[in-house]
Amino acid sequence: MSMRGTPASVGTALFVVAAAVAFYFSQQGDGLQTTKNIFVNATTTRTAQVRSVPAGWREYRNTAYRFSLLYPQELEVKEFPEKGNALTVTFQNSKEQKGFQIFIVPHPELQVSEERFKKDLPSGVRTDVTDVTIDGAIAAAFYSQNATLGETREIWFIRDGFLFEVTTLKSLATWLDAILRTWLFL
Amino acid sequence: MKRPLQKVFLLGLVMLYAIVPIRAEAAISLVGSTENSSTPNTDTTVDLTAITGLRAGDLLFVSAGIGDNDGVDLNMTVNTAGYTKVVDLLSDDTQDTNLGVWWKIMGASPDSSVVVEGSLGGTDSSLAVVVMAFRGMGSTTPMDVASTTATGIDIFSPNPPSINHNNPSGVWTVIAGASGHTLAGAGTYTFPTGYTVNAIDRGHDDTVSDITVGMGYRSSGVSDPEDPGVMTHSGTNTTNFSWAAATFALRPATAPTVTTQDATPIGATSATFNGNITITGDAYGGVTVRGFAWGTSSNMTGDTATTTDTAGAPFDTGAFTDSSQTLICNTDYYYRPYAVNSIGTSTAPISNSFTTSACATPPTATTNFANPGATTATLYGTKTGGEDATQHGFAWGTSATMVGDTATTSLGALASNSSFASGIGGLTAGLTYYFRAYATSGAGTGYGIIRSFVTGNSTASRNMRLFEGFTIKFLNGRIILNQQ
Repeated sequence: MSMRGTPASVGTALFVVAAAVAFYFSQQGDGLQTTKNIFVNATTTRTAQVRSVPAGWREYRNTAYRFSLLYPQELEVKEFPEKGNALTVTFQNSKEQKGFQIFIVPHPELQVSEERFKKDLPSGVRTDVTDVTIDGAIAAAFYSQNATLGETREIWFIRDGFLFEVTTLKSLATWLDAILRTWLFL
Repeated sequence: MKRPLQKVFLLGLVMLYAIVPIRAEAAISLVGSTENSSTPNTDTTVDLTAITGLRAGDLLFVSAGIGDNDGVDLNMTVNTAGYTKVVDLLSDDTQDTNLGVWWKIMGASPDSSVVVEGSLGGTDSSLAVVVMAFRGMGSTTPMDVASTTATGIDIFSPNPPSINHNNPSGVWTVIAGASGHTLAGAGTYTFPTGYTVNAIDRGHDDTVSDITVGMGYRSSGVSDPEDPGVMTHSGTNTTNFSWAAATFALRPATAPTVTTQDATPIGATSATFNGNITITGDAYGGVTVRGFAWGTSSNMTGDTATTTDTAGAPFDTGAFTDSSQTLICNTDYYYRPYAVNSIGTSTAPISNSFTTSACATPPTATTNFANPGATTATLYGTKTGGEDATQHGFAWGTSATMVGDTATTSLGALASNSSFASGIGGLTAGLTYYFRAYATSGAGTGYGIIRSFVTGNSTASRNMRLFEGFTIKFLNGRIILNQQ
């Protein structure tokens, strides 16, 4: 199951993000002026969307990071603001042994570097890498290893300058897939 | 809800008129009179500067009499331009009486003299002229009705005929009479009751035919019809004498008449006031000012302002509006139109109250965060409430207080409460920048708090928060969580 020693696993570009939109930078000098150095094509205003929530589910909506998902109502949601404009959101129910977390970190690049990967996954483990789609964004799904959780299911994707890392226990992979199908970028 | 007026426009004299309803009474007045005569067969020039205060809009009556003895209608003539002849009479007796009457409204530069043709009767005639100036009549049709005229022979006391006028408020009657005789020396008249004040007459003595001419007016107690009575000539009458006379009714100009219509349309901070001039009053110069007094008082006292419209004056009858006022939202207002002419100011009834629309709420915005790169950043914000934004975006710069060297992104209008973002570039790596979201509308601008970011990639790394505080074991394929 482990990918330790897999020669093709390290040093290659793992994640190609379909949501990438080329930023246009008007590089006309270093000084700040009123009209220059502004680009808005990559990140435009979006209107709010109202979702219908099935019975037994709830909506988690984050207008700051601009996404919404539906989750089983028995899960408890907690937000953990992290340094560097990052955010961790956990959805868990310890009695039912179910849960997942979303880690969101600013990430202006269009790919995930090896450095970034190891920073968040010190184990360096990723196996069974496949492409999945999260509301139109291509994500990398794989299994990994965490010191406290053990074997984990990871789904990573980049959208609008942010890297989203969704993590759950490996045994909850199918359960998580159903939840992620409700993901909606706002 | 009453609120004090925020913006007050022109005050002053018109303001006074507006606060206290003033309906000027129509009033005719005598400006003055003068006279002259000349030797036979020469023109008579009357010096109008002798009438003190003669000014634009004044009505000048010129009455000229020629005494003659050949029974010829002389077709009386004024040689000064602009005079309208309303009477030209011949009373044919041994001593003829010719009477001519003219009128003219003085223009911006009133005439300094008026000249009556003196050659019409030849060397055996006599000519005398009297002039009276009045003020306050209608400027286009000062006569309420056409004049009435009469002539007589065998007697030299004129009997101005009755006149059946429209009995307008403040009507004056004016009589003019002339007498042909041979009494020599200046004749005089005793005017009928009510016509004596400031009456004037002028006699002229010729070797063959003499003339007396006079004018008088009645300013009160004018009947309808009005029969002035006889202008009794001085001296002894003979059957060779004659007279001619005319009666006029002067219709006073009036202040304008104005009506009020409801305000429409009405907005949050604006409204269109509506008024209508239904009668201009026919005063000289027309309606020179129109406008609205307006305020929050139902009786138009206290906190009241006035609009003044003079552009395009004089104003004719018709509707007029004003929508230039900045009002307070959700507030009751009242107004009333007014119009001014030389007679006075008229104000229409106070309008029905109207309430400006509910106050618009300025949009509100929240500054979310920045996603910085080495030399770029994406700024995130959310419009969180208030009315639709006409513009939104971010202000950003290197000042912690967002003053001085600050740039702005403009994302355009935003009709919903939703998130938005702007990318900025050309930044200096390793430098602290400050930014805040904004959303603006006509009602104001909402700002988010000022946040900062440091250029360069994020150093944040993932912490595993999931099942934090639990130990995890797997037993027979099942997850076992134990609280630590």
